[in-house]
Amino acid sequence: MKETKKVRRPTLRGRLLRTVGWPLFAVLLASAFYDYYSALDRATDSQDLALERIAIALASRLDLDADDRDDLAPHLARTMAAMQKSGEGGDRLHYLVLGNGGVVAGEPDLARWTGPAGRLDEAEFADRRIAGETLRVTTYPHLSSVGPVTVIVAETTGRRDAQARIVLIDTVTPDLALVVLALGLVYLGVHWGMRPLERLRGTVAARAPDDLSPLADDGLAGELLPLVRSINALMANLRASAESQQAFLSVAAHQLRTPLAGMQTQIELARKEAGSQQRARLDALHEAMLRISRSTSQMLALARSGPQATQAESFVTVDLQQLLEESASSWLDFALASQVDLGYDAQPVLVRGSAWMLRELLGNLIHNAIRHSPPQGRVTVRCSTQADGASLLEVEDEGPGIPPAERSKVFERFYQAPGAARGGSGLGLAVVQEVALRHHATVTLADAAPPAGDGPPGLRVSVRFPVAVGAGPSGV
Amino acid sequence: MRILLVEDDPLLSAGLRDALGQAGYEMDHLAAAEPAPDALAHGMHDLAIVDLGLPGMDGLTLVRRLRAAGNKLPILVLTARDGLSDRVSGLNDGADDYMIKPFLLPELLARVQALIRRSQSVASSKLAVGPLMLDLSTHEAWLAGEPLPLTGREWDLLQALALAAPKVVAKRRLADSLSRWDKEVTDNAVEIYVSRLRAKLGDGGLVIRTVRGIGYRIDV
Repeated sequence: MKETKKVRRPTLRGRLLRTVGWPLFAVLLASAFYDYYSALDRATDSQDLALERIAIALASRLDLDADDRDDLAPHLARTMAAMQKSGEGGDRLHYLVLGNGGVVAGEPDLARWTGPAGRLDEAEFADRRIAGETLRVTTYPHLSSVGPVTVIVAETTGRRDAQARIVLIDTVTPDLALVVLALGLVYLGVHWGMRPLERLRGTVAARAPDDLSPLADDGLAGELLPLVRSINALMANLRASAESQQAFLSVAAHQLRTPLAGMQTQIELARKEAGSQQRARLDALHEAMLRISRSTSQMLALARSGPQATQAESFVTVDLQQLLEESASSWLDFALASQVDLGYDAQPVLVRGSAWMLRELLGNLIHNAIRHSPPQGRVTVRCSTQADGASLLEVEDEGPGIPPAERSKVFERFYQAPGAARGGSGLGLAVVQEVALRHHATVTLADAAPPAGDGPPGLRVSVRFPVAVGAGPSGV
Repeated sequence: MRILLVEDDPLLSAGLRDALGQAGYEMDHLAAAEPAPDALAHGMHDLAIVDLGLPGMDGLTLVRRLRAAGNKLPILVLTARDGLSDRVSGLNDGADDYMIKPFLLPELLARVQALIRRSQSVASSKLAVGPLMLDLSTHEAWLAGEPLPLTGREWDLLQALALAAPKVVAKRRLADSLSRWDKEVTDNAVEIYVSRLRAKLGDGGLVIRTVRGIGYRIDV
């Protein structure tokens, strides 16, 4: 597997969360603002109403006391003091009554807030700041019995501000809680809604790599059904193509091997019957036949163990120890004819795989080892279970070995290392590699002899099967 | 000894008929599977060699049909499909052995001999390997016609090797065959019995060959 940079991909869940979450958040925020400002308005309105009443009261006072002009100012001051007392909270009231000739009563400071004269008997309101304090100011023009006057009443906004703070806490806190709760529910809902997809993902991930059986589509959400059906159609295609590949190879094997067997048999018979002169020719022919037979076998094995053809193959538990014991019967005669001492060290080992592929792998390793052994050389075949649970299959010879620089190339198809024994097809290790790949096993080449030795380095081929991956039931 | 060969390829069947004929077997040949049950019905044959890839009825069906009819004739299957799982090799369907094409004639002859030897040992309880003759019912042995005195354990070992020949028998299997004498038979014990057996066989034309680290094989 190539190392891929971890890229954050847009997820369906994120998309759902964003498309539902943001608008919801905006709506809730807007409603919180609306609640706050409308409550604030109500607080302002009630203050305005109170100020207007005071202004009207002062104006009507002017009408009543019109005959007593000199006492007008003290009268109004008393009225205001009474008003101040009756008001709640610590807000201060200020007032000014402007007549034609100037100040009638009150604080002349307020004069700066007289705007252009409005309509008579209609109060106007405004917020004004003075000395770091906010004042609510009402201006009330009035035609009194003493002439046209403008009544200005101002009040600090302490009560109103306090009320605003209460409103802020009372409306915005529950609104924010609502935002959090709603977004939380959306999050949980999206998670819950995505669960069928999550389950499907789990089912697909838990399958053995060689399992091409269709996925069950019962109990699936309607949206997932087309996806699962497409996956199943794809699997069926793969299965069909693997099966047709297998069928083709099976026929090809028959078409190639039957005439080969006939020719080989005929040549062996002819060798027995021939005189000494033809005998040498027939021996050469027989030798060539064996080579053709062998490379045919290897090519068929390569094709049959390729990833496409093996899709239809099912893995079983294979007893490596027994496989090694059986290989002794198959290879002893060839070893004796090559004057090679073929030996074993077979421990009980079980691996998950295909028996014929492993037999092919082992056969190619043993054949190579015997072919490259010097006369009287030893070839040793081992299998064992490692401490970490992995299984190890090793074939070791006392031949010339493979120099480190060549080691990666010898697995290539048809590659012949310089100085390799004659008559090889260059396919043996390719078959080994292919079979190992199908079993998630790794193949390593090393010198068999200790580096200080004076003999040839020899070769040790190690095939390491990892601890059974997906050893679950994948069709037996 | 009479062998029925069921093989449709003319070149191969001609070669096999000649080769087995030269080895002393009487040969009958069929190019298709359909007439085979009738040909075998008379019980005149000692072995059938059946190709799996036949036109019409295939070899596997023939093997199954013969076994279903109760025929116990030893059957050697020839197949072009290597790598075939054992399911396709016919072993589970009643074949006694199989060979993948192409094969070497000496190996084919050795397998044929072993199959006939084994089936005859069941019928006559006599087992012959080269100069060695074992009587499976009386547990007597002869080497080149001379009685060969053997202990019980030695006899069991020799029988296991002779029945399996020309295959290699793993030491642990030999230990199993001695389990009626001792509960736990070590590999060492097997080695000791084999060396005693070798001493008794001397150089009478029969060799027990050691395959390093794994077991033994009888060579003639």
